[in-house]
This record gives sequence, structure tokens and C-alpha cells, in this order.
Amino acid sequence: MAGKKKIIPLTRKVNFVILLSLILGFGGIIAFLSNWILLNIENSVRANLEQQSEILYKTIENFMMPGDAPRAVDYFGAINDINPSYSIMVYRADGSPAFFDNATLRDVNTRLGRERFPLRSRETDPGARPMEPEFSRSVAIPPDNVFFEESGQGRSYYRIYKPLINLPKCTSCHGGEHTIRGVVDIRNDISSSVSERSLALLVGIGSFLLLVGAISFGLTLYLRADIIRPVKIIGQVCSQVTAGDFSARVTLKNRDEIGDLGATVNDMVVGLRERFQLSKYVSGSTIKSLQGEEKGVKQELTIFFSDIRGFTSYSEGKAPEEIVERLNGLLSFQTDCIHEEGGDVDKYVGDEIVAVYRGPDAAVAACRSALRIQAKLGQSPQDFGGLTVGIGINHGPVIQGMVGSQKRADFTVIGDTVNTASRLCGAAKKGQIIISESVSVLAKDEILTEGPFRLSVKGKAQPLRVFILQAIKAEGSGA
Amino acid sequence: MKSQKKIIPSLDVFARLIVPFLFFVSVGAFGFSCKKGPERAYLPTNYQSWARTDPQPLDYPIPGHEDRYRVPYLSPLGEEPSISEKSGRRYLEFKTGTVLIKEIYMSKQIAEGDTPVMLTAMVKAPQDQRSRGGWLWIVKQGLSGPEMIMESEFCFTCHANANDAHPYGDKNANLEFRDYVFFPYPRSVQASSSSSSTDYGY
Repeated sequence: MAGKKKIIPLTRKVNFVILLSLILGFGGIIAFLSNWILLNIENSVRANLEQQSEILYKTIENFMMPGDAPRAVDYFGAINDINPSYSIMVYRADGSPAFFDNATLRDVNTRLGRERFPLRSRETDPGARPMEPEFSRSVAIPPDNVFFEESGQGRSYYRIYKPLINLPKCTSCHGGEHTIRGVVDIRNDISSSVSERSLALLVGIGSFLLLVGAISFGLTLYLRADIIRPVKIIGQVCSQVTAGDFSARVTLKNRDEIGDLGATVNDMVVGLRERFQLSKYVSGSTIKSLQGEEKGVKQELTIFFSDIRGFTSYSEGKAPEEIVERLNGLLSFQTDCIHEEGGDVDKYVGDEIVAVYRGPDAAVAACRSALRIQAKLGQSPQDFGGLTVGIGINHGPVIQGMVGSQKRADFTVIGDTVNTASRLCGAAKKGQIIISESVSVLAKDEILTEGPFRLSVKGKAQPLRVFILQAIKAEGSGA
Repeated sequence: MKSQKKIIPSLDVFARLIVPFLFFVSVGAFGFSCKKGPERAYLPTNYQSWARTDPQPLDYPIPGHEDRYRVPYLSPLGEEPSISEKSGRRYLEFKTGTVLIKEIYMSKQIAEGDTPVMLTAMVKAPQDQRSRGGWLWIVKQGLSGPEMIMESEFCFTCHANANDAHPYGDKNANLEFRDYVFFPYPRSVQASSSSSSTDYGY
């Protein structure tokens, strides 16, 4: 028996496809857009900081040129006081903080040859030092603005280092031996933006997952209600029909392809029921002939006749219902024995059964059916109301075809072989099986018989050479 | 049930094999056509035959070049810049294609066969999106290194000072717009224009 395939529920498959599409599709788009927005924000802040650094650069230049360097110091201090999240610092090219000691002042006064700028009374060191390697990058040749994000002590900053170039017009005070004067450091506290960004990201991801979960749940409910349940109902009906219950019907409210399928299944069940019912009243050959598979031909077949003995006397004094029930019981039992040995009931004529056997073992099969019938009736007569049967079996050429008119016909067998089998049945006593010589010859290796006997029958000028069937050789016992 | 014969089997083969092949060939050809060719060379090798613009030995330290010895050359196209006056200010503008090349030496003691350690150059190309102030600012290592176009503001920021008062040469006391060139006139022009009203102090 082949191994059963593992069933993957349809709901799971559809959910997987939908979720994958959502995650890759919407998720991908959202991730891309979010990243793009964040990038734009960062670029905007960067551009803003660069613009501010340019402004400060020009400010220093404009303060320095007329010799108002101390004003530049006051200016930076005022800017730093405006907003604690925003700070400005100027470093010399060596990384030391500018405007806190007298080193530059002394150098300038020396170049100018006079005490142009008074020295500070107190030198201080704010302790601040620039970040590496960003500072080295900003003062390298060629110098360039360096924009970077910094984190520390629970805070986040955007920061820019803008190099101050020693312009030719600056050389009169500062000399021309160097190219970089220093670096303007602007630092912007973005901690609140970062936390908002993180929160937004968490909310976004959480919302997306909730949405995906809700869609998945809703989709599951819908699939179960509108597709899975109807499919299961159809499957149940099919199982019931398979088990022989032709009263099962698919009842669906779907107005779609599944609803159509249910209606089609109902039509199919009705058709199957009719066919099944019909098969009770016609022989298998008749059904096949309707399908176009059986045609009227002359062929060698084994013909089986069985007739109830003493049925008339049995029927006296009994109710019709009881008589029919008893008769049907006996006929059903014989029919089963015939079918189980490969025979086909051609017709029922009152209490008589006419059956046909075909194939190389037809004669033996008919003998087996007859012996089983007689054995059972002999062993359990009370099951059949004490009724008995006589059986006649013949083998020979018959004509099998549609017999009757166009309005009413039956696919049956006719010919001398059939008549002879009927005569043999008529001659058989209760519990007896009479077989013709042709049957005894065909089945001689497998049956035990008594005879031969000479039997005169109506319609035959010469007596027939017949045998009484006793048993199948392997079983060794008969009726 | 009889199997259906393919009516046009060649069409099926064409669709499955040749069409994708043609598609990829087309994409590849398009991609190659879009590929940029090698960068052109802006600095000719015969620049040393051009006129020089240095009024005196340029061996004093200046930002950007510090104490390296500098020898500038001007292409013939630059010998006749356009001169105009707007709102009382004199404007000197070089023609597109003008090339200024400055040789950089480690010291002014140049021996026979010595080559500059670097060339710094300006090429007038206002239509080029990489230009700053209308010039491409080019650096070349020695005479055989690749030409690198400086896309940062470094060179331009210092040379913008040439259009203002500065400490070099005549110091641009009249605040002329000199098209970012500190010494805009070659010696030959200086010699022939001794009666010029502008004393460049060379």
C-alpha cells in the first residue's frame, strides 16, 4: 500500500504566500522609504551644519581681517550660550583649543613687530580635544569638511569639522608657512531626535507586525469559512457516497466556483444513485451493452438455471409480504453465490434465476456456485424457510444480444444451450445439481460427479447424457 | 487522446532561446555604450615653451604650496585675456581653454635634468561641472603621474584671494577681478606694456 502523502493545509499555504508577499512587499517598501527618509533627514542636517560652518568661517574671516579677533571669541561664547544643545569650538591645526591661551597672540605680535593684541591675563584650558580620526582627516591636504555622528554618556550628536585655510590675506598676521589655520567644530545634540527615531521605528515595526497578524488572522477566518469548510463538506459527501449512501447532498451558500462544484457533485450523486438503482434491475451485460462495450454475438458460455422447489405449497397460507421477503432472501443468497464466482445474473423469472458464466473457467465457476447454494440450503434450511432449489448447468454456443423491441429490450442469451440448461434444471430434484456432458468434460479435473445418466427432455429426440454434480475435488464433499 | 503537434516548432525555439539572448546582448551593448571613455589629458607636455608669469623667484612660503619653489607657465591662449570695466571695477577674464601650469620643486637649486615633484594647474573650463570659479584645478605627481581634478574647494578658496587685496606681487591694490590668478600677465606682456597705467610691480 503506497504511503499516504503528507497533507499541508490550504490555509497554511495561502497564509504563507500572503504573509511572504506582505513582508517582502510592504515590508520592503516601508524599509526602503524609512531608510530614504532618514537619509534625507541626515543629509538635511548635514547641509545645515555645513552652511553654519561656512557662516562661522566667514565670520572669523571678517572679524580677523580688521584685527577684531577678540570679538570673534566673544561671538562664539554668545552662540554657545544660546542653546546648550548647540556648541561651537575652534581648534588649532595641532588640535589645541584656540582662543583660550596667548600662543597665537604672541605669534601674531611677533610677526607684526609690535604689541598689537594685548595678552590674556589668565590662560585656561577647557580640556576639550577633537575626535580622531575625524580631526586628522579634516586637516589633511587637501583638507575637507568631515561630518559624523557621535555618541557618549547617553547622548547623540551630529558634528562637523570645517578646516580653516590660511588664506594669503591671513599671512600678514599668521605667516605663510602653513596651509591650515585650524578647525571649526560645530556640535549639535540630536539625542531627542534619535530617541524619537528609535521610538518611531519600534512603533512602525510593531504596527506592521500587528497589521500583518491581523490580516493573517482575518484571512485565515475567511479561508476557513468560504473555502476550506465548503471543500470539506464536498469531501464528506463524496465519502458518504463511496460508502454507499446516495442520500448525501452538498448544501452550500457559496455563489462562486465552489458553489458550482457542490451543485455538480450533487448532480453526480443523483446520477450515481440512478445508475446504482438501475443495476439492480438489469444484468451487468445489459449495462455494458448500454455503454457500447457488449455487442450481440455468438459465443461459448456456461448457462446456469436455478429453480425453487415446493414454492407453491410454501406460499399457501402465508402473507404476500412474507412470501416476497422469503423469496428475495433466497434469490439474494443465490445471486451473491453467482456473483462471487464471477457469474452474471441474466434475469429473474419468478422464483427462477438464469445466470451466465464466461471465460476459460466458466463451467467450474458455475459448478462452484451451485455447490455453495446447495450446501448452504442443506446446512441451514431454517434460514430459508425450508425452501430448496434444483439447479441445471449446461455449456455451449449461445446468442447473446438485445432481445426485444426498441421500446423495451433486454440483453440476454438465447439458443439451444439455454433451453437445455432449463430442461436440466426442471429435471433436478430438490437439492440436486444436474450438469450436461459438456460441463462435465470442461470441469472434469476439478469436480466429482455421479453418472452418467440418460435423461429425456422435452424438445430433444435423443436422451441427454447428464451427470449429477457431487463436489469440487479439492473440497471432497457435496450437497 | 492524441498529442497535439506543434504547428511552428521553430517559433518555440526562437522564443525560448534567441529572444533572451538578444535581450542580454542589447543590455550589454547599451551598458558598454554608456561607459565613459578614459579621461582626457589636460596638460600638454610642451608647456615649458610657454611664457612664464612669475615676476620674481617664487620661493617664499605661501599657504597651499608652503616653501616649495614654484615656476608658473601660461598657455598662449592666456596671453590676451579680455579686459573690461563694470561698476568702476576692472575685470580680467581668460579665454576658455587657457592653461596655467605651475611646476613645484623641492628647492630653487634646480640641477640639469631635475624634474618638478608636482604640477599644479588651472584649465579654464566654465562649462565643466567640476569647475570652480570657471577653472578646473588639476594636480599631477611629477611629469608622468595621472592628472587628478580637485573637486574640493581647497585650491579655489585660496585663489579666490587673487581677486582681493593680497600680499603678493602688486598686492592687487586696485581690487581688480583677476580671474583667480595672482600673477595674470606673462613677462612678455609686461615688457611690451611698460606704458600701461597699471603698475604690477613685477
